[in-house]
Amino acid sequence: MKKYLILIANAWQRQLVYRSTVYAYRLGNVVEILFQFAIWTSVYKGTDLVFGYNYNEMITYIIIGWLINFITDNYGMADVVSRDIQNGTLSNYLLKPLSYFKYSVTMSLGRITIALLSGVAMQIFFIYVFRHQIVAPENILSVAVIVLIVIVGYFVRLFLSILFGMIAFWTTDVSGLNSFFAILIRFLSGGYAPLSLLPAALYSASMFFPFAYIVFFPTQLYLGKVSIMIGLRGVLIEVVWLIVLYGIIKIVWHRGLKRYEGVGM
Amino acid sequence: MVYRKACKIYFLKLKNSIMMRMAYPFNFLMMVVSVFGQAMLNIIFIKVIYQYVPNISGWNQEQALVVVATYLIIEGLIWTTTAYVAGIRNTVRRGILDYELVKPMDTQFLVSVWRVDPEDAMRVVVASYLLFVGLGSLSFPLIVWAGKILIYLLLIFNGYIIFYSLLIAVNTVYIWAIESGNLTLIFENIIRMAQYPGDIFFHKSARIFFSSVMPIIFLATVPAKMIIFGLDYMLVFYSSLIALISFILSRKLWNYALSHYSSASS
Repeated sequence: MKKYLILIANAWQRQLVYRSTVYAYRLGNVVEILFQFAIWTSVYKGTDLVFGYNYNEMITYIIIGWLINFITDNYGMADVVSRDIQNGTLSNYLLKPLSYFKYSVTMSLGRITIALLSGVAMQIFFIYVFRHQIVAPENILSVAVIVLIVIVGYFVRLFLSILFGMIAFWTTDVSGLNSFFAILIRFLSGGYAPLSLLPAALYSASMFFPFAYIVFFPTQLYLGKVSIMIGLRGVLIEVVWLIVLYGIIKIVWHRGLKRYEGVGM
Repeated sequence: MVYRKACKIYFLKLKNSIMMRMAYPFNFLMMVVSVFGQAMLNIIFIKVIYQYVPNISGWNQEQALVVVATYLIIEGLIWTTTAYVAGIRNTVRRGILDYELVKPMDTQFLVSVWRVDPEDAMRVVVASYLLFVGLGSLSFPLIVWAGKILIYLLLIFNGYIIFYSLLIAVNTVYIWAIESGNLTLIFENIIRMAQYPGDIFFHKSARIFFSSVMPIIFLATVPAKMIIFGLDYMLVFYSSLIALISFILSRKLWNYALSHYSSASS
């Protein structure tokens, strides 16, 4: 356990060194959020409801959605895993008495700390700025379920990233694939806009996959558009997906290792 | 003579970039799909929103799609010709810029074309289809169309120059301030706003900022306005003037940055 705590501390220290990049990310996010605010304000000048959301609910969706996005984001772990495989760095970990999977999970926890803190601080600022538009949560119990779903969501997203990164065992350059998955996950998790925009059949289908539970579902819970019972069912679906993803990672890892050639060493 | 040499170097770099991409054909395919997906998301977003409102800030769906298409053309052209500018930060940090400085060719040109991203040509393909759909509803005599297209092409060229100049200006900061954070990320988020009609910026200060300090409304909104709503000579003049000023300023900034370059990792 101690060795993994050291990994977290190391990753955290490394992030402190590169904190200017994190701040740049955040400034970029500020621009993006303000732009979304501008575009939705323009849209709501011509209508009262979009996807079943009124103006205040949409602003709340943007601010709370971004907050959840910051908390669940692992900032390119797929790239880290694929780079380790591509550069042959993975061999270093194979020789050490630690599990690469546990290493990735713990390292990610240390890696996100600065980004997470700055993201949350930024969103608290935005909540203050838009305090007249932000809708308050339905009840305190739903907040507890949201916290639970967001924590599981973080691990679902992390497991997906590790899995996508492992594709590098089969194809040496995965930058295109990773960028495709990043867009796909952001879209299917409701990161661009509420998933209510999807046709009914696609919307129902998306509820069986893990992506919708990362941003869209907790935000719906916050806005009181789904009940706490359905929220708990969402947690259960996420946990099932977490177990399934863990199983897939194990299989892919063992098969991948057989193909691993230590390219780049 | 210099132009011939420059063209030759560009096509050599283009060939190299395509060969690099084709070394991993599956990855290249995924890059194309990724670019296509990004472009399609913008279009889907516009189409879905317009199910609820007939127009946004005076732009209907087809007109908004022409703005998206114009932006995609300019962005596609930028990344298929000068993609490496966005990578100056890494070039400086790894000391690779030193190699470019000693070559008998303009450094800014070399750094600009060192790598091109052929997958971004997909943006231009999607944009061409969008333009066809968006402009299909407009009916003008052939001679008017010819005039409009010529002006549109001139404004696209201006938009390209403005985009390139802003990209250079932002990235030159890394040359004299290596640890200046990733400004490119902020830049990319701002420039992406150009894919929607500039009139959505309801705040006066935002409009002034986006038409002077960071003149992104001249990238797509102004060319789209010209081809949809008709010719406005003053806008054409302003677009050309801003393109010229942007290019001169970015060139001066580049030369200033190079004179303060202290080399890293070498």
